[in-house]
Parts: sequence; C-alpha cells; structure tokens
Amino acid sequence: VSTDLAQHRVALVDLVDRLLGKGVVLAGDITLAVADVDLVRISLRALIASVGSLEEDRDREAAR
Amino acid sequence: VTATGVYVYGVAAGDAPVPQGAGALDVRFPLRTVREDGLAAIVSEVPLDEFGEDAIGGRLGDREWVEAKVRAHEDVLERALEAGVVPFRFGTVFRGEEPVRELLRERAELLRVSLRRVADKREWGVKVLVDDDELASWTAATDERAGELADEAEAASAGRAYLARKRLEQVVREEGGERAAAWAREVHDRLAAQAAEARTVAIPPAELSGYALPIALNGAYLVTRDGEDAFAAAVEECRRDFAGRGLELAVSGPWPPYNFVGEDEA
Repeated sequence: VSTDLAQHRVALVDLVDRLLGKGVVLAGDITLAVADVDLVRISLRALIASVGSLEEDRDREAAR
Repeated sequence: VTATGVYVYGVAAGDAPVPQGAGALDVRFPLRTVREDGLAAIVSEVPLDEFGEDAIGGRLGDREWVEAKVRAHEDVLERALEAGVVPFRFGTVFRGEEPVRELLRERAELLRVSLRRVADKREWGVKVLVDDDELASWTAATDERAGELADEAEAASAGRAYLARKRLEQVVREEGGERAAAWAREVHDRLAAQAAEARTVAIPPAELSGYALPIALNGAYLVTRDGEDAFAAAVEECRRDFAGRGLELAVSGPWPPYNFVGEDEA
C-alpha cells in the first residue's frame, strides 16, 4: 500500500474532469445520451458565481 | 412504471465479478453485468426522466445531482478496478440490453486491447502548483540579473532606484515563470519514468480548480501496482528537490484509468 500517496476527499472538479472529460466515448445511434463536460463546467461556474454574489449581498447587509 | 435505459459504467473481462459493496446510480436498480464475447459490461438501469436525452442536459445544471451521480459512477469503477476495468464516460446510456451486447461485439477488439493496456495498473494524478511569492524570492536570490538590479536599487538615487525595482519585478516574474515551467516539465519527466504511461491533461479553470495556487502542470500517470512504491518515492524526491522554490505537488488517486483508454490516442 502506498501510504505516502494518501487519498483525501476528491475535489468535485477532479471527478468531473475525469468522468466527463475522459473515458471511452461512444457516439452514434446506440447511445441515448452522453453527458457534456462543458455543460457541467458551466453549471459549476454559475454556482460559484451565485455563492460569491450571495456572500457579497450578506456583506452589504451586514455593513448597513 | 418508470421508463428506463441501460447505463454502462465500464467494461471488464468476461469472467470479472459484479463489483461488490457499491451502490448503483439509482437505488431501485442494482448493479449487474451484461456478458458477451468474453467481455462484461458493468451496468444498471436508470430512469429516463433523469438520464434520457432530453432530461440529462437539465440535470447537469443541478450541482447536487451531478455530485451524487458522479460519485456513484466513480465508486462503482473503483470497486471494479481490482479486477481490471475500462472506464466509460459519465452519462453513457443505452436503449436496452441488446444495444449493449451489440457494443460488446462491435467494439470487442478495442475493448480487449484497452483491458490489456490497463491490466494491473491504476491511474494517479499529480498537479504541480506554483507559489508565486516563494518562486519570486528564490528567483530574486539566485538569478544573476536580478541580483545586479537589486544592488542598483540599493545604491542609486530615488528615481533610478524606482526604475531598478520595477525592472527587478519584471525580471523576477519572467525568469521565475520560465523556471517554474521547466521545473514542472522536469517533475513530469521524472514521474513518467516511474509510470507505464504518462500524459499531461488540460488544466482546470482557476476558479474551479479547488486550489488557491495556480497550476503549472496537470499530469496523469498509469502506474503498475508493483511500481506504486517507486512512483510514490519519485513524488517525494521531487518535493524535496524543489522545496523552497515555490513548487508544490498535489497527488490524487488511485483512479480508474480514465486517461488511458479510448480511441483518441495511440
């Protein structure tokens, strides 16, 4: 066991990049759907942006 | 009755067991395998109101949904890793079991080659992070031109000292950037020497990376189980050798070999 390479809770972005950006891809008739990594990135970015603006709102409230 | 599709997590050898201890993507539908032509697809049913063509796009905007499902996909593959598995991309859904069998027949050669390629190996990720302040200190202390400019800033009149300091900052930034890039490359080469295969992959956008420090290099390494101790030792050596210069190594893994399957590479 490689204890030196200690595993910690994996960042979501690492997971998303590997699971949605890599792996065997099949295009064509046989698959119904293949998720699009860019869609998820956009949603993660939107989430971070909305958390940021929430915090700004809260700071503004506090400052009042 | 819920309309369902068949979700494929990955493909293993025909005699591989159903991964134990992992939950499937939907608690109503357990993990199972579809076996054909000496290969086993690891699958479970998924509801089409979440995973169907029209539905999944909307779900991908729901962070909680994405996180839960992405972790479930990863968990299944981690439990399949021991026996060897070719990971599929998240969200690969088939209309039924017969199309999955068709896939196993039609892509048998590619899948077999991929299984051999990743057998008894696991993927590790290493990100080279750069601490710009530490890098600047190191560069200012070791670069000849930076040293001259620092002396000039000390000795000169106020006006010239200002210009010398400005020039010094620029030299440190440029020289530091070049050094960091070269060191990151050296780290990658040293780690690659301990891996069966290695590649650099796209660097995630800074605001999503989860790291405060910028990433100079994002490496993926396919390492034999026997070689993991040597690989870990190489990581430690690099950490030691570049200590004080502003380079940090962030290790992740072991991963299923996402970066070492597929047709888009030799």
